[in-house]
Amino acid sequence: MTSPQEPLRAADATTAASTTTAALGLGEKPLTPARLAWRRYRRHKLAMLSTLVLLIIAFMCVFAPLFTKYHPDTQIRVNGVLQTFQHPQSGHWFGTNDKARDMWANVLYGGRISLEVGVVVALLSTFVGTVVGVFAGFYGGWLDNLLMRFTDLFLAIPFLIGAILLSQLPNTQPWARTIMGPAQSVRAVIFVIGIFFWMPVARIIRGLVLSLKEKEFVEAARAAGASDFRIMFRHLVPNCTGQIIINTTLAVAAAILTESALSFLGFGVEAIFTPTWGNLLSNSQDLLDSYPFLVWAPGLAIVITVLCVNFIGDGLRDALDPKQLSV
Amino acid sequence: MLRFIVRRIFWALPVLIAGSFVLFVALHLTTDPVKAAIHHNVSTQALIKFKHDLGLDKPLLTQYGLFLEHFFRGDFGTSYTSQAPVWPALRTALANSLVLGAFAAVFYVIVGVGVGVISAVKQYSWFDNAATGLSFFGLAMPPFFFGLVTIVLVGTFYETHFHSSTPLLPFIGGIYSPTTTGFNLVDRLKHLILPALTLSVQEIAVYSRYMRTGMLETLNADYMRTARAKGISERRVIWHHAFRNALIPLATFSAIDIGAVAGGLIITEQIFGYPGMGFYFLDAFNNADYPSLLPWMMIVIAFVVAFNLLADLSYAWLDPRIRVD
Repeated sequence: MTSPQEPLRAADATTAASTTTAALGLGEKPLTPARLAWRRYRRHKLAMLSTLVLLIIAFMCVFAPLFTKYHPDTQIRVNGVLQTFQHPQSGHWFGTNDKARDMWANVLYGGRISLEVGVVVALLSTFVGTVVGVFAGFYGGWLDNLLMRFTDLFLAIPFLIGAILLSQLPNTQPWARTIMGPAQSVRAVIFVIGIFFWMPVARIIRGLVLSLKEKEFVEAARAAGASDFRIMFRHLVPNCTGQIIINTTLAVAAAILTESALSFLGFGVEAIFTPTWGNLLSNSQDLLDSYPFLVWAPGLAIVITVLCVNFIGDGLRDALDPKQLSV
Repeated sequence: MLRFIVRRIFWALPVLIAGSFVLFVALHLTTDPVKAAIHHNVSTQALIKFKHDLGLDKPLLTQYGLFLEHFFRGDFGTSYTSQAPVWPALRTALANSLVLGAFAAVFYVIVGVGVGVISAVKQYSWFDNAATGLSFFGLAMPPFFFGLVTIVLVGTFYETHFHSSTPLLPFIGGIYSPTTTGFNLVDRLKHLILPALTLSVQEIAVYSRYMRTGMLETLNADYMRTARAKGISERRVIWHHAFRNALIPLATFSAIDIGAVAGGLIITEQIFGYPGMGFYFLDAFNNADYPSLLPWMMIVIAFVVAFNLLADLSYAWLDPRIRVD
């Protein structure tokens, strides 16, 4: 996938070689690693397209009031009659559902929550995973053993089962309610998913740190008097940036899918108060025959968003994976 | 090798104990059979007796110990909701899930690996591009969304477009049609197809991606050049040298993946009302049926740990370099 501009630029460079400034490369901006990565990322056409689509989706969800005049709770009435199950039409692009609510408004507002769950889960789990991985890899010994066995333990629990059990915790345990908020609130769902998402990151970061900590720059930092903490978070973690970014991106997609799975099983965000793509989809699951638009709207929202995020992850892998730096 | 196996088995035991204990505590904290019993209008005295009979007034560790003791003696207790012994219901659910899981696994492994190999051998061909595109779709689609779409396709869509009064495949509940009596292989298989397909979508996507990457890596390895230089036929080079080495990471992955399959089973069985372990779990969990849940949890954890162990062992068996560890 070489872009047609590349050979042209090379030709320009040779003709311009006579002028001293160009020959010395003074006129050009320096090629930082970020700039190189961006150049590689741009070549991934699908990733670029996905970025655009995802930005549009996110913009529309965040600024939902700009794109719909209805609130997701508003019940549509015409002459006092509830307009349930209206087919898609000019005023209601995705029709209305069983509660006479505008589906387009619900998909937009639902997207806020679904994206929030995805992003927050990804950031939280990456943070926890990175900290666990760095400590385990850097200190080794008993701490490494302890943290990695802890990771193994979490991996041994089938994730969906753990999430279901955990989601009910606030119902019976007051202390869980103070941490997670009420059962099936957005906060609780983020917590429930996030707690089973950090292990892969921890393993990857640990593996990277194990090899990185033997490098000369760590020795140099130590010689310069850097503390362990500084070495870990100013020297080692920045060197794992590529992997961290890639995994965060893919976690966003996985979390959105998990949210919808939990909703389907009845353990997701409570649908009565807050629409999410997951609970919109699972609420209309019996209506695919009679009112297919109620299923396709949230269903396609999930599919398109997750597809975009995965393509972006793919592009980022091409751009940031150190193994491919020779490209 | 023997030392390695023994060490890994001894390592699996504490994980089994710890994992089941964590789930035990989680179950204990989230399900409250006593609270559930209140709905049934029982007196306080009966509640206390009930709590005592279940052993719920003992310390947590004691309860766990008692449970383990009962479990390994094969004494699975009585279901709180149905008042019937737990084991027969659990055994049926387990058997059904194993049949579905195995049926789906054979399907997704063969298709996934096959697609991955062809994709790698014919990199950037139309087949490779189509497979890549489809696998991205498969990964982006919530499994239950896919299940719903298949239900409509074999149901309403088939009935209206092919002028049929019956759906192409059964999709509501059970492992047999209501009219079937006794064992009927064809009917049984028909009830397996849609759930197995739903369970397989994501797995096929993941497997084909894994296999493609693995194959590409081995196809470009130095020993491939050596093999070709020795004059070995291309077919043999691909199947004996590249394919077998590419299977190594996949073997490990397939065993670790069992947790994801367990989750997939819960969703799939719920969509199609298939009476397996996932269905059993949700039913028991929603009824706070503590006695039914405990042995279920033990069996699931044991499966996951056993498969993780299998992953380690298969890895060591397939790749001798690991054993030195």
